[in-house]
Amino acid sequence: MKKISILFVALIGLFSASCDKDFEEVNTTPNNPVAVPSHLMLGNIVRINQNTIYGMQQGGDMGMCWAQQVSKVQYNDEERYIPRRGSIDAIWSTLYASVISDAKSMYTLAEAEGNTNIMGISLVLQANAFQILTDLYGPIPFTEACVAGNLKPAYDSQQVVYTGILDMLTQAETLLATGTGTIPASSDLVYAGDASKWRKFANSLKFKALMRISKAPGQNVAAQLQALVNGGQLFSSNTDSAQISYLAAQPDANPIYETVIFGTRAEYKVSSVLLVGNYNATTNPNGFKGLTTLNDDRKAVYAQKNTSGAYVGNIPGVENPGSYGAFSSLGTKYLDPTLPGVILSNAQVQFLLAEAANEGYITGGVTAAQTYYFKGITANYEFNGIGGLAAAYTAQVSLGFATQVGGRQKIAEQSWIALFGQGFEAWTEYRRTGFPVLSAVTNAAPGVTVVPTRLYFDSTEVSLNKANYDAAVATLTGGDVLTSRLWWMN
Amino acid sequence: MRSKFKWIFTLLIALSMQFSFAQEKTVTGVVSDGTGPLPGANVVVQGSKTGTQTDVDGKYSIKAKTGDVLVFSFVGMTNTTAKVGASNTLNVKMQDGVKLEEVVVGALGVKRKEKAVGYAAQSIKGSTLTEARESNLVNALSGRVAGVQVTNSSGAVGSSSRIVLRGNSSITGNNQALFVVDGVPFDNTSYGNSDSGGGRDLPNGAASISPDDIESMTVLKGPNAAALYGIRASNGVIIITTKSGKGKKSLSVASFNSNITFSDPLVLPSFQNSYGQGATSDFFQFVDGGGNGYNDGVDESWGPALDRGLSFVQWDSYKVGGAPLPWISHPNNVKDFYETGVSMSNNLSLSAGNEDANFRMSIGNSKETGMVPFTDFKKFNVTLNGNIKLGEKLSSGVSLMYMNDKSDNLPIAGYNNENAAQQFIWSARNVNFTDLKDWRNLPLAAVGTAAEGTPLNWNTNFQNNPYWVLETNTNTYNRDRVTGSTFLTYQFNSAFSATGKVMLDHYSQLTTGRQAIGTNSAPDGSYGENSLRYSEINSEIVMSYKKQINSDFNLSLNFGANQMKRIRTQTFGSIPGLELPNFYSLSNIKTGTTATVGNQYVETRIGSVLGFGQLSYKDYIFVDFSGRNDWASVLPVKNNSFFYPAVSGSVVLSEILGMKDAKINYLKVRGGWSKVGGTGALGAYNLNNVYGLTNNGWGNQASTPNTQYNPNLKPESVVGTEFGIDLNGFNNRLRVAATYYTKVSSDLLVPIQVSASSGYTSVWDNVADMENKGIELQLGVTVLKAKDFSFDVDLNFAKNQNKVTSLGGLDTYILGGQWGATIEARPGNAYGDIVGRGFERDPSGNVIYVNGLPKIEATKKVLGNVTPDWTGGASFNVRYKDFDFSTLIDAKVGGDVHSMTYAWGRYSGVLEETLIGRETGVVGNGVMSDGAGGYVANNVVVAAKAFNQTSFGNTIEESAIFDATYVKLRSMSLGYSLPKKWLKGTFVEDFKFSLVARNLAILFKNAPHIDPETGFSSANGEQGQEFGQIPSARSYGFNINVKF
Repeated sequence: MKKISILFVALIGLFSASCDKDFEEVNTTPNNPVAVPSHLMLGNIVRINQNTIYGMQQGGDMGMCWAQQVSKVQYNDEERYIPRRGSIDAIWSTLYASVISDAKSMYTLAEAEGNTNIMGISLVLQANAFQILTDLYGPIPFTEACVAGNLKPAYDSQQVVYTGILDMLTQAETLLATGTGTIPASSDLVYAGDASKWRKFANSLKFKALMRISKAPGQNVAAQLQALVNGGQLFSSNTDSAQISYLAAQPDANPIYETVIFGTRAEYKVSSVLLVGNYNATTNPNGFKGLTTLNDDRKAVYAQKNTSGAYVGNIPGVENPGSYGAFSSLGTKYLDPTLPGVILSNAQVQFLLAEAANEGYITGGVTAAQTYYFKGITANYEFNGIGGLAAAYTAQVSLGFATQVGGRQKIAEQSWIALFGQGFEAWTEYRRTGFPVLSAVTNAAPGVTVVPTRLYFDSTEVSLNKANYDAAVATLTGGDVLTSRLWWMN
Repeated sequence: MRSKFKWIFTLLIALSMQFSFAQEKTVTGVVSDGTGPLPGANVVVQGSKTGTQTDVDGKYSIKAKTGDVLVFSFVGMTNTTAKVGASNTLNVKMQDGVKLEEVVVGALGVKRKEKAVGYAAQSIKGSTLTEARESNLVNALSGRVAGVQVTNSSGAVGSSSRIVLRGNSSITGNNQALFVVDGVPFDNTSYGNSDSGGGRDLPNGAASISPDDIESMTVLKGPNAAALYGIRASNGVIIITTKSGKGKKSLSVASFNSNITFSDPLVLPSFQNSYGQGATSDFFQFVDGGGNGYNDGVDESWGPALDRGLSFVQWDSYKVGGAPLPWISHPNNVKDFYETGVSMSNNLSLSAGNEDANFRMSIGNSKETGMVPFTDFKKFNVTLNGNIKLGEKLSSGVSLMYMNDKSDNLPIAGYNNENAAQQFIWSARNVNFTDLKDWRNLPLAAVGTAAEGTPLNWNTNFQNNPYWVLETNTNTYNRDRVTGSTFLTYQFNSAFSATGKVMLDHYSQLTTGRQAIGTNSAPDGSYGENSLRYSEINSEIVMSYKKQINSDFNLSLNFGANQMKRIRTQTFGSIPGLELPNFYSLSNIKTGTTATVGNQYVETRIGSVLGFGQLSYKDYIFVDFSGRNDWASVLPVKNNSFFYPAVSGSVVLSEILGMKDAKINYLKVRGGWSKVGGTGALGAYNLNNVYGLTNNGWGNQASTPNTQYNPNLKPESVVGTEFGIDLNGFNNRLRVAATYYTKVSSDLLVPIQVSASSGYTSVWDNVADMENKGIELQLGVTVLKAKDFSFDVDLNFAKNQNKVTSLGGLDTYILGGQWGATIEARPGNAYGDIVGRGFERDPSGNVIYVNGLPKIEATKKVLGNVTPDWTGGASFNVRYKDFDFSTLIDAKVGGDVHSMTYAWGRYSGVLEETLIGRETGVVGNGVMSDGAGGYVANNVVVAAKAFNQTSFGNTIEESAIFDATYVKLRSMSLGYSLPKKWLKGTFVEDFKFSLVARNLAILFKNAPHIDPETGFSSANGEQGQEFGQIPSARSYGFNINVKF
């Protein structure tokens, strides 16, 4: 018995001593780095952001189709306002958990490195993502979002979110204006390391944010807009545009290409509204006249001819599964893998300047408005590779305007045309300006009589963040539905 | 094969010769039992290598010396000994073996008398596994053991099976039983990646084990039985004991088994055969199958009526110069696509032994071809084990199993256009699919279509030629596995011994996947390889002490320690496009694309100290106790140590009370309590946040993970309690066992889902609690027992009630899902709620229609649950002379399944239900607004297509959820053993021929079109879901078993 006890004690002693020896080391991953330089995160944040909003199940099915620039000849539930909740959820979870969260990490890393340029860039990217979120959903978690330890962030009103976005962009301007620290070109998919362009982007994005809330209750953004114009740090050429160059091969190609061509979803066609408009002298006198009537050269860029050699758009909401070939596919430029993923274009900034001038927020009046407006059109013609045709196009009498009211519709419609491919932005600007005048698609989901004005919240919020979700829903007239009105809507 | 066997025979004969001994005298006699002579009884001279068997008349003849002791044994009988006296005749009458003397293999392989076991353990013999055999061993347990729930994913070759004992006990842990083979923990992971969206299922690890090598499988259901296996055992343990040469005494036995079965689909959807391809019924014209004709890009069957004399240009009109062809039905087009699967397996084993040493070797192979064309699965295995006494006090043994599993192609599952079953749902009912088989001689799909450059298909928009896909886009699997152990025992004295044991489980596997250029989901083609290496080494020392304290009390004590080290490494690479067509190598990457490469190294360790023992009183009261402390590397060092105790006991009342009455000849009550600690789903490296790196076309990019790690985690625990009673009566012709148990899991480690606005989508925490309680009943009745005839019925029943008791303030945890349906764990409900959208209903529960179409609720709700209410099995065994017949009926009652085959099949117009109202329209069964706040019966006629596409599909889940109950005729075998007298004088000792069948029929089910036993894989979140199911296989064939 004694022998046993001694042996046993010895054995236990031996094992207990070695039982968890080195366990901390054993459980340290050899597969992932514990530290990275801040710039290494930059490319990923931008790439994920653009892949999400360009994804055809997101920016296509809901953006392009709801803006009625694109229409599907088959499987068009989303176009008829029966969206896939999973696709909506993906925008929410990706922008928060992979874009904003990572941008915040990048800020912390850059701060430790003393790289104020990357700190500024981080704020620009956060502001951009928050703006996308609030423009799609309405009230969203902002002040408590992506804050360590808070697993149930409260929602903020759109007004609070916009105030925060503008603050971020103001800070970004400060950081970038006197920026220190390099941005390796290989990590910067947008400007190849040119901090001065990021500064212009920060200011131009702020201009866009101000314009978006320009008619929100109680807002007077004129002074801030004028200050931005005076600052001279807005986009002034297409080389300023914030966009990423997609690559020739998937999975780094433009998501439109990846779905429509690589994923062989040929049911995406150009919409009849874009090609021939919805104008009707009696029933829709303010309707859009269509690229054909406008003699718009972009028609041949945006659309391909059908198998009979004609440009034929699909009527939004109507299925034509019998014959895909009878309708115009998207133009080859827009189905090209290297189509840039635009975050904010020079053209859009010019249209916003035009609108600001036309509304009297900035100096210059209708005349300046028309100048900016033509600049916008020209910039977009250039983007589409037909810059040489812009002069003739803008020379058409029908394109110009002399009054504020006339300018309002034309600027908005041209901005909408120029946003082709940027599905969500086109839909958002339509929701803000009301132009072009669109009505709910044919065969819209039962009970939906207008074009949706927002997305449902992420469907998991109701269980994962219920109290805050419920509080946010209570602030929406109509609740968490597609047609609740957003704060900044015209 | 033939020459190989010849060689083994030679070896065998050479070996047998060594066991022949000189004769002393010949003893003859008759062995009988209560009913008459006993053929086939073993007769062995004790302490020698001489033995024989009784013939058909119970007669034997053996050479022995006077004074030798003969040992008579027979399955089910008590061993009888008799001394050889002066007489040359020795007749023996054997007694029925008492069931309670059955031996149960318990934790750490300790063999125990059944009556000394205080927890529910149920065994099945190896022979039930070999005849009507399953290619996946786990399936063989279905219906046989109370409380075991087996789910086979599909009828594809190499498919995985899930095995859960007494309900799910963890939210995200694997919830499946631990397999232990001859004391070696045997990894049962399935590395498949199949889910609702595709991927390929791979067999679970235990499927590699050859049933021919199995002596018995014992299911230790509760944590009581499992406490000694540590943290992996909280879901129960399945102990497999392989055959050995032990107990073979002087005999050397060679055994050969051959099995051939054929399989065909057990269930196929019922398709309509009245309307062909199209979105509209007016016209059809095939131009390129990509939408440039009329409806030719549509993969639905709302087209023109079939068999009405119409002719259209169709996909195969190229044969007739583009002329129209008759628009006719092909009712068997799907059935004809599936081929007859053939499965062949052979095994040869050789065993021998004496008192000092024994040995067994076996070699086996099997080859299966799937019902899905161009799919197969092959296995090859060699098993070797031996034990030897090295001296008076020292003994040693070794066992080794080598297994190779290999497939040249495994089919793709789920909603994926490489799953052929998908194009039978998104389909054209007018197409004869087998016409596509000769794809090498078909024209190519037109330029500009999605399938451009690949052999023609009826649809080139969403689908490729299914035969081309199966033959070209192959997914291979190859795994080499070696498991084994070696031990050394030193017996210090009669009371004290020490054993050292080293156990190894090692495998290396390579999976590859090819996609040819032109594949719908990979137009540039692709190729990927994944190489994985796994090794687990357990080193264990156990010291045992046995003491008879006095005439009434016996004590045994064991102390030990174990070190577990597990390393899994993985290297993978894939290219997103091919430069040269039809060449599959990672070097053939398409110019301009970026390969994905990566590797992983995962190491985990557990150190343990354990002790267990038993105190018994007078051989009728037994108390077992055990304690174990584990240190787990995956936990934070400050919380990585945890202790768990267990105690159980049994009281044999029949002996205490002296119940010798034949009506009740055995009565035992038993009970136990145990606590098992665990690390659940927590893997290595989940404590501290790190960064991820992705290399893509722009370069290397870093990101933060979406899961927040937690350095404050602690172990989870499962507390089990059980009580039971075992009763045998009427001379063991009635056998009853009943168990009640509870299993309470707390502090479950879960990567809880959190609002993404927190910056993370999940956070590791100890939050969830879950409980299971249930009963298990077994009833065995020997209805008839006579010399030539016996009839046994065995029934088992288990009901488990599972409840997620807490999720730490969360309302739900999403486990998985497909389309709009999710599988969730919700507090207050059983694990596995199916959540989705329902129809809006009036206060009386009628579906509300608007313009003739149903209204769908905006918010999701619980529509069903995947957990069954109860499971049961009934087996019937009949023996008549040399014939035996056995059959097994297996039932799983309750639980639900979400069938997207049904949803999309209704949407696409291929299922027979879509014929309703094709010509006349449909009036949905429900109500509509009366315009004044009330409801009246719906009377609006809508087109069948609109009705089906609104009521079914991916926007409404309620209409595709069905009761998953099934009752299956699981297996059947009819065997005939050649009478011994016929074999006299030959080298053959036994010859048995059996007709066998598995999954012969589903006797009852409620889910239409599918086998409700289904899942996309064996994972938690893939249960209760179905789409494009590769039909489960009905197999039938024969088995030959020969012993030499």
